[in-house]
This record gives sequence, C-alpha cells and structure tokens, in this order.
Amino acid sequence: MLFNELQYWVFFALVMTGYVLLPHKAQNRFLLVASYVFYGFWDWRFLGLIMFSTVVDYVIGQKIHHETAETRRKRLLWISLGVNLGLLGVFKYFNFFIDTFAAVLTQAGVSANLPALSIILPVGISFYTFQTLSYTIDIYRRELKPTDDFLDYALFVAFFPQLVAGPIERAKNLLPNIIAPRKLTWAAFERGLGLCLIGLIKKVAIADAIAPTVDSVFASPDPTRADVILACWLFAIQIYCDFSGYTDIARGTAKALGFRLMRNFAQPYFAINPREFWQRWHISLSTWLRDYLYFSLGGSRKGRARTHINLITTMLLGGLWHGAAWNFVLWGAYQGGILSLYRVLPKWSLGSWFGLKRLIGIALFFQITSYGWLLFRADSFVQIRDFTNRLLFDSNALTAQLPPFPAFVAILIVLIWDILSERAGRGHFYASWPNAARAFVYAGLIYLLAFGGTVSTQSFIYFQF
Amino acid sequence: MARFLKTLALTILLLAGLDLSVAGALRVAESRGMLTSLVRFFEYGRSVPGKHAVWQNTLGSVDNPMEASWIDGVLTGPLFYEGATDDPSALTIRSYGMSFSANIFRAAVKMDPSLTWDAHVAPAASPNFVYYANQLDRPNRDAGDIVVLSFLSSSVPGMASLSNRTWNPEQPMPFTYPIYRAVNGQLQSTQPIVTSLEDELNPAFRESWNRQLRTEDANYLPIAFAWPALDRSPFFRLIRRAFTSRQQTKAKQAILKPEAFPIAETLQLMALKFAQDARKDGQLPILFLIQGRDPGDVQLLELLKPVLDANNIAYLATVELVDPTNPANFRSDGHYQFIKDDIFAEAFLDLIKDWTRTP
Repeated sequence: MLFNELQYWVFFALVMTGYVLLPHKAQNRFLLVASYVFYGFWDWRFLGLIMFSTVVDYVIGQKIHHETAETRRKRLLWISLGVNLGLLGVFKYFNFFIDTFAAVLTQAGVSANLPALSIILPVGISFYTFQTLSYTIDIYRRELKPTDDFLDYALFVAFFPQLVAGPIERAKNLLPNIIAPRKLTWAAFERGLGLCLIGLIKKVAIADAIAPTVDSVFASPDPTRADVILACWLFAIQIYCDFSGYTDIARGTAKALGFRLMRNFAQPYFAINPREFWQRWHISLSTWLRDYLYFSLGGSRKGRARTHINLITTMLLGGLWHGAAWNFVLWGAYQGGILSLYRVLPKWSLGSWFGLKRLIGIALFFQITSYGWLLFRADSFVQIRDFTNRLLFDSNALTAQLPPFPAFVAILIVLIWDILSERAGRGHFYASWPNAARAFVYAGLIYLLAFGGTVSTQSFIYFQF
Repeated sequence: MARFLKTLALTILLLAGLDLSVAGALRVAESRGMLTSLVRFFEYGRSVPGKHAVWQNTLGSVDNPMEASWIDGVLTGPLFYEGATDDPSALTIRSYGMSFSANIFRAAVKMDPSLTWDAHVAPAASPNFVYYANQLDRPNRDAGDIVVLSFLSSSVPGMASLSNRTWNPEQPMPFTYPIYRAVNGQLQSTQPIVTSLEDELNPAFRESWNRQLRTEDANYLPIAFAWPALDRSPFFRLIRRAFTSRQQTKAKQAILKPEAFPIAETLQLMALKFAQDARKDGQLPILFLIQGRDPGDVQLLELLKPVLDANNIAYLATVELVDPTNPANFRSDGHYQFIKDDIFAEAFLDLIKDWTRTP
C-alpha cells in the first residue's frame, strides 16, 4: 500500500472516519490496529518482528528506569542494542558481510564457500529500529521517563504514517502526543491535506516522472558526459522529491490525525556547505546520528584529530545505514570527508540572503552534492569509476531522453514553494493567506497533480532502506 | 469548520474555472494548429469511445486511425510495395510486422534495389496480428519468396487482446485480430466478433462486441472505456490517463506471468508453425525478433532461441546487434536510430545471402 496509490487514501479515509468517532484511548488502540494492518499489507510475516522489537524495548526501558545500579543499567542497554542491531544485522547486513568476507578471502588466495541466506529485507526495519533504540538510550541517559502503557508504546513504534520511511521520531516528541488527548481542528486537517498534496506532487509529478531518464542513463553502457551530468542532477531532484514527498505525506496524514511529526527536510539544496546540508537533509537521521553516535564517540570534545575521525566514522555508518552495499559506505565516506574538509577550510561570508554570492554558493555546492548522489545511485565501483571518467573526459552530446514536460512544470512549482518556505522560515507559509488565495493554490496544485500523474508509478526509494 | 468548508468550496469552484480555461485554451490552440504536442498530451486521456468518435467524424481523411490496418486492407492494400518488381528473377520479401520491421526493410531495399518488398504492417502490431496476417496472406505468396515474421517485444502483452484499443488505450487503433493460445501443443484461436470497419460501425454488433472485449480480452480496463461524457473536461482526461496508465502497467505485468498467459509456448508454436508452413510452400521463413527499449519487456531471443535453433529456423535478433539497454540507440519516439536500422538491414541481407546459397 503506497502513499501514491488510491488504496492508501481509501485506507486513510476509513481510518480517519473511525478515528474521529472514538475517545482518546480508543483512538490509540484503533491507530495501533490500523498501523499493523498497514504494515501487514507489505508483508504480514514481519509483524512478529516489529512486535518482538516493541516488547523487548518496552521491557528493557522499564527495567533501566527502575534500576539504580549503573552497571546493570548499562548491561540492560547493551542487551537492547544487541537485540535491535542484531536483528538489523541479520536481516539487512548478513549476506553483505558474508560476501565481503568471502571476497577478502578470495583476494588472499583462500577458496571460500561461505553460506548465504535467502533473507527478505523487512520494510522499514532501519527506521523503527533506530526509533526504538532512541527510546532506550534516552531512558538510560535519564532524559526520558518510560511510558507505563505498553499499547501506547507499541503505537509509538508502529504509527503507520512514519512506520516504513520515517521521520525517525524521538519518544520525547511523539510519545507525549500519543499519551495526551489530541485536539482535532479543521485548520490542522486543512494543513495536513495541503502537505499531502505537495508531497504527492513531489512524488508523482516529479520523482516518478524523472526516474526513467535516470534509470536509462545508469543502465546505459555508453553514456556521454552530458548524460551523466543530467542523470546526477535529475537523481538529486528525484531522491529529494521522492523522500521529502513521502515525508510530507507522512506528516500531513499525521497532522490530520492531530499528531505533530518532526520536520525532516528544510530545502536541503539551498545549502552552501556540507554542514548546512546535513542540517536540512533527512534531519531525523542526521540528528539521530549526531545525538547517539557522534556524541557517544566523543564528538568534538577530544581534540581536532579525534573530531575528524568521529565525523567520518559517523557518516560512514550513516552511509551503511542506507543499505548493505559498499557504494553507500563510499557515499558516507564522501559526506564525512567533505564535512571534515569544511571544518578545516577558511570560512567566507556569502553576503545577504539570495544575494548573488549565495546563489553561486548554492549552485556550486549542488554540484558537490550531485556527485555524491552518483556514488549513492551507482550499481558498482566500476560504474562510479566509469561515470567519473566520463564526467572528466567524455564528449558533451546529450543522448538521454529528457523527462516529460509536466515534470519540469512541477519542478518549477516545487522550487517556488521551497523559496517561499525558505523566506518564511516555515513550510506553512500560506497559513495566513486569505481563503481565496489558499483555494487558488490548492486548485492549481490539484490540477498540477493530475497533469503530472499521467506518468508511470514507482515505489519510494527509501523503502529499500 | 466554516473556514475549511469555505476554502473547500472555493477550491472546487476555482478548479472548475481553471478546467474551463484550459479547455478553452486547448480548443483555440487546436483550431489554430498551435501547441500541438500539448494538445495531443491532453488527448491521450480521452476515453477509447471518445477517441473513436473523434476519428469517425473524419472518416476518409488521410491516415485516419479508424480505418487503419483492418486485416482486409493490410492484405490487399498498397501499403508498401517497393523494389525491382519488373525483374522476374528478383527475390521477393513478404513481410508481416510493424513500423520497426518496416524501417529495417526500407533500409535493406535501399541497400539492395534488386529486392522486391511486399509489406503488411500495422501500428505496434502484436505477434497475434502478425501471425494472423501471415496465415491469411499465405495463398498470395509464391514459392521462392522470403517470408519474414516480426515479433516486437513491447507488443507481446497484446497477445492477450483482440484489438489495440484495449492494450494500447492511448492510441486505440480499432483494427482487430484473434487471440492465439498454446493448448496441449496446438494453437487455439479466439476470433473477434468484429473484423472490419463496417462491423465496427454497425450498431447491431456493438453490444456483443463490447461483451466479448470485457470477457475475453485480458487487457480490457473499464476506466479506459467508461463515462465518455467526462472527455469534455481536460482535468478528467488527465485523471483518466493517470489511472489508466497505472492499471495498464499492472495488467501488462500480470499478463507476462506464465500462469496468466502461455506467452513463451504460444510464441514458440507460432514460430514453428510459421516456418513449417513456409517451407511446405517452398519459401524461406525468417523471424525478426525486435527488442524494444523497455527493460521490462520479455526477452524474445531468450524465449525463442531454443526452438529456432532446434528447428534450424533463420532469424535476426536485434539484441545480438544493438544493445537495447543503451538509450542512445533509440530515437525519441522509441524506434531505433536510422543508423541502427542500417546495421539490421545489412545483417538481414547477409542472412538471406547465406540462406539462399545453402542447398
């Protein structure tokens, strides 16, 4: 059941109808059942895995909270880390590590015939694992009091709008929203639908429309420099619109139900340096990595050299979080490398907002980001090397077919939307506009959605992580 | 609530206004011959009956899709007939295919003007149409002819259809053909009720024909045929196109599953029966396997090579000559670059030289 399919909206309408008729506690139980049904549509066999993870972290959270002895608290935390990361390791990384180990042995001249498991990756496992881990770590750090209501906690883990691709919510943010009665307002409902609309445009009219062009270049044995540049730019747009489109729909759905999910994107391509980029891109993951990994490694408190090591380690693991493949690790290393480099480079002033210098900065940094996406999207190291060579030495003629016209219209609209959000400092910049102006925007967006919806549908990229 | 309802009502009102404006603008553009690709873009979402109604209004005009490729016309009409027809010793190629194969023959005849080429083509012809045309045209062929049957990978899902109107609703050419299906080593056919334009326009056939499409054509999508009145609204045309293309993708993917339709067995039997018939008539059978650019298409060579090799049937597989995964090999309309057609044509000429030399 994809957000960009009619089936989801029928499901959401049914959930919404039942939800508004129920009192608060019953609403939570109803949402929990709906969330499990939603997940069951993907693969009901993995419901047991979510429930197991939920039970483990609920019980350990309670025990850590009531335990006073530090060694025991730490031991309990390690159990939580071991179980969660163990599940992630088995389901996501087992074959990757086995294959890598076998390749290393082969390189060393040792014949290796190691077992490989036929494992299906449970959708959303990376997201809900990080979410449950943050719960036990926050309790361990005494930053959070655990909830006594197991079913409320289960809803925190499985809440359907953000279950399969985030945002990776913190218990500090989402649990109070679950525990306390929510106020349903027409304004929030309208805001939620507006978010869903812009999210659908990003996904349906842009990401899905440009995917065939990107795929064709990455499948091509002989692309030109212009093809590779186009594919990198388009993939940068595709992955942003795909993922932030998903997040918009997730936040919009949650908003209509009276929940406030965290913002996951803040116009990331308006960044002019890597630090700013990571403050704007996949914010729920970057802050998670910062709070639970980078700080745990010592952050910037242990000297200059250690800071760089911590930064690169964090980004390497962040890359690996995305998928069990070496190109994700390379992408993480690239991001860690440019973050590290940025720390040592002299800073310069870029003038006022939307001044020429800033525009140049945005355009230049977009090239750096886009090259990073080449590492992310490539099928192999050989392709990375080949495409890099073509970027440097190949001819310029464009042979790839351009995306359909509606995609360019939608890109322009989303760009204007992002500029207005940036200037207003919030996504809901149109809240104070008069009814007629908002209605005009909605009508235009609905028309644009129909215009762009004529291209074929694709699954969300981040579902594979 | 009042504010929300007011915004909602205004949104609907403005949407209707916007739709009326777009409809007006498209009408003006169409009448002045402007923005043709945009006008065509909005036309794709028109319902199949809506498109047919538009075409019926211009019957008799050049290239009217309503009249194109009905089987009688394909067999008798002067579609393509090129080459050295005056030379009694000239080799005659009888081809059954689509634009892809026509492009190759056109290049081949240019390279070797001594060839005579008798073409029977239909737009995006599916293997069942191609096989059907070849069967019906058998009495018109002579011993010594080279007979070429072309299968196009992107048209394979059309094997479960009686007409392009169901599996290609954006270009719903109404011409019809049977559905062939391999059953216990035999080709069984389902004949369409409608076989000519006269039948198509005859109201007496309408109900039973629509029923046949609904029940026997696996690609039939109700949304592509329903509520033609909504065609007046460009917005609803867009919505129809969006839903149709999504459902069509799913329907095609479903048809390509072996449990849904015996694609491989049917294609193999078609190839075998075609070769046997041609050989019986003293002709040289050749199969063209044309792989389109969509990586989701069936791999024709993979599917047919065992049968072709086992029965010593001559073939030309485009995938062996040009990489279909490389977008640079295709034109923007999805056909191969002309330079690639030249490569295929050269290979075809070599092929017939080899096979006509073989004792």
